[in-house]
Order: sequence, then C-alpha cells, then structure tokens
Amino acid sequence: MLKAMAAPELPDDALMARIAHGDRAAFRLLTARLYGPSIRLAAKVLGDRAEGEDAVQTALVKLWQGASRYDAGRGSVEGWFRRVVVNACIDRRRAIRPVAPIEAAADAASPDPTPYEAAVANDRAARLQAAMARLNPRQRMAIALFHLEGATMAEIAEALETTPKAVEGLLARARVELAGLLAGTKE
Amino acid sequence: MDRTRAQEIIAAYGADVTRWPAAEREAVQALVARDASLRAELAAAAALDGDLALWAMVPVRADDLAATAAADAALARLPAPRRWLPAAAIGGSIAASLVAAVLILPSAGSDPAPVQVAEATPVVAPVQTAQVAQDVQLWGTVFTLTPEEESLI
Repeated sequence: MLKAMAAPELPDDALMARIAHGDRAAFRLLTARLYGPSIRLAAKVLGDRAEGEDAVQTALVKLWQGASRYDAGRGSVEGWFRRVVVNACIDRRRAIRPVAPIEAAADAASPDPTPYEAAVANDRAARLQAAMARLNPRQRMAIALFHLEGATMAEIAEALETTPKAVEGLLARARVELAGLLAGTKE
Repeated sequence: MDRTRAQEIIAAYGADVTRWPAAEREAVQALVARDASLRAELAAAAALDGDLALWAMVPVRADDLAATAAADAALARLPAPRRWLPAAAIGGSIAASLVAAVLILPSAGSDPAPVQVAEATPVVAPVQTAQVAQDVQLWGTVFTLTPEEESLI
C-alpha cells in the first residue's frame, strides 16, 4: 500500500490516513517514528521498562483503532500520540504501586563495577527514581515532560488536558515533594 | 513582578533561567539579585535540577527492533480499525430512513388490500369483513383530499 510514495517521505498525517484504512505497513512505519520518544517517556514515568512497554503497547492499540478520528487540524500526530501515551501511563500508575521503598534506593548498587563518580550518579538517579514513584501520576508526568522531554508549559498542559497555570502548580508541588523525599534519604 | 511570583517561577521551572517565561525572566532575575532568600531558593532548585538531569540521562533502549516488535505485537492483538462514518453520512441515512417510513406507512394504511382479501376469501367472518370495510372508509375519510384541500396544493 506504500508503493505510491517512498515510505520515508510520507508525513505522519498521511500515514495516519492510511492506518485508518487498515494499512499495516503504514502502522509499522509510524510506530518506528513514534516509539523511541514514547518508550523513553513511559519507562521513565513508570519507573520500569516492562511497564513502559505495556503502556506504549496500549497506546499503539489506540492509535490503530482511533486513526480515523485523528484530525490534523487539531495538532500533530506526535502531539496526539503523546497525549495517548500520557493517558496510558497515568492509567497504569493508578493501577500499580511503587515496587520498592525509597529508603531501599539509598542502598541500590550499580549492576556493574563503575568508577566512583558513576556510582554516585547512579545512586542519585536511583534515589530520584524511587522518589518519583511516590508522586501522584500527574505530578510525575509533568516532571517527566518538563525535565525529560523539555516540553513547554503549554505543551504539558495540552498533554495533561489542563491549563499552563495549573501545570505550574503541579510542577511546583512535585518539585517540593521530590526535594523533601530526597532530603529524607540523605540523612 | 513581586516576590511571590518569583518564588512561584523558581518552584515550578527550577533554576534554569532559559526555561522561565520569557516575559517575566528579567524581572525575576532582578529580584533574585536583590534578595538573598530568593538566591537560596534558586540554589536549592539548581540542586534538584541536577538530580533530575541525572535521572533523565539514564538511557532507555529504543532501537528499531524494539519498535518493530511493538508494532507487530499491537497488530497481533487487533481487529481492523474502526471506521467512523462522517456525521453527514449518518445524518443522511437517518433522514432517508424517515422519508422511507413516511412514504411507506400511509400507503400501507390506505391500501385497499383488506377489501380484496374479503372478496378472495369468503370464509372470513362477516364481523371481520364489516370491520375492514369500516376501516377502509375511515382511511378514506382521513386521507382523501376534499376539493378545497386539493385546490390548496
């Protein structure tokens, strides 16, 4: 079905139109484009690669089923799919609990022998990951979108279906909570 | 710009000045320069930013193979995508159904078939035959136009 135009040249919204008609090759191509950013976001937000894969899988199912409802006039495919991934992650976060107490993260060891600086960095990242698990799903998503994706307040607001002002509040509360949790583990 | 707004911006956006709202950036920087407690809040925000940057840097593998596997796994679970008819098509279908109903129902009601049935099947009870004739007469009264009504068309 992709013979009319070389696959890499097709824009995302053209692929969406083909997916709406059941074009599996277009679906694979669009997945290849969207997968990287999506799995990075989902795995970070959920704190677990497998959970992230499940969330992205759920989002891909929704992409396939909802392709005909996508309206290019209301935003990019990337933005639309990010919203779907965000919702899938938030839904999953409601269903799961943090797997390890934050105190345990302080003792987390790197799987490989590393230089001292790398070990310290791993330890800090592990403590932060454990602290992130304590945040509510929307706070966690706002932090990930802002600090991982570099998204603006307006972009985060769109993804979370709220206002930029509300996102400011969400981020501020999340950062205060994170700082408090991290301070607790340093003692 | 007041101190409270400067605190809000530092709390939400962190210490990276380039992420602050462009319209408020200079005013916040000016306030921070004059206020030691705001500088302390900025330093604390910078420390958290550092932790978040480390957290963000921990890589998540996302190669083409993983993407292909994800696409195939999703496809394996799925039926054909839903086709959503345009609203106009749905509206047209409903309108066509209503028109068809209007055309069919009155003609069914005024159909002289009951009379034919009565003639072709003399075994029908007289009461029923009389009832049918009465119905036909009633339909005729209701649906047959008077000369005045016809002149209005």
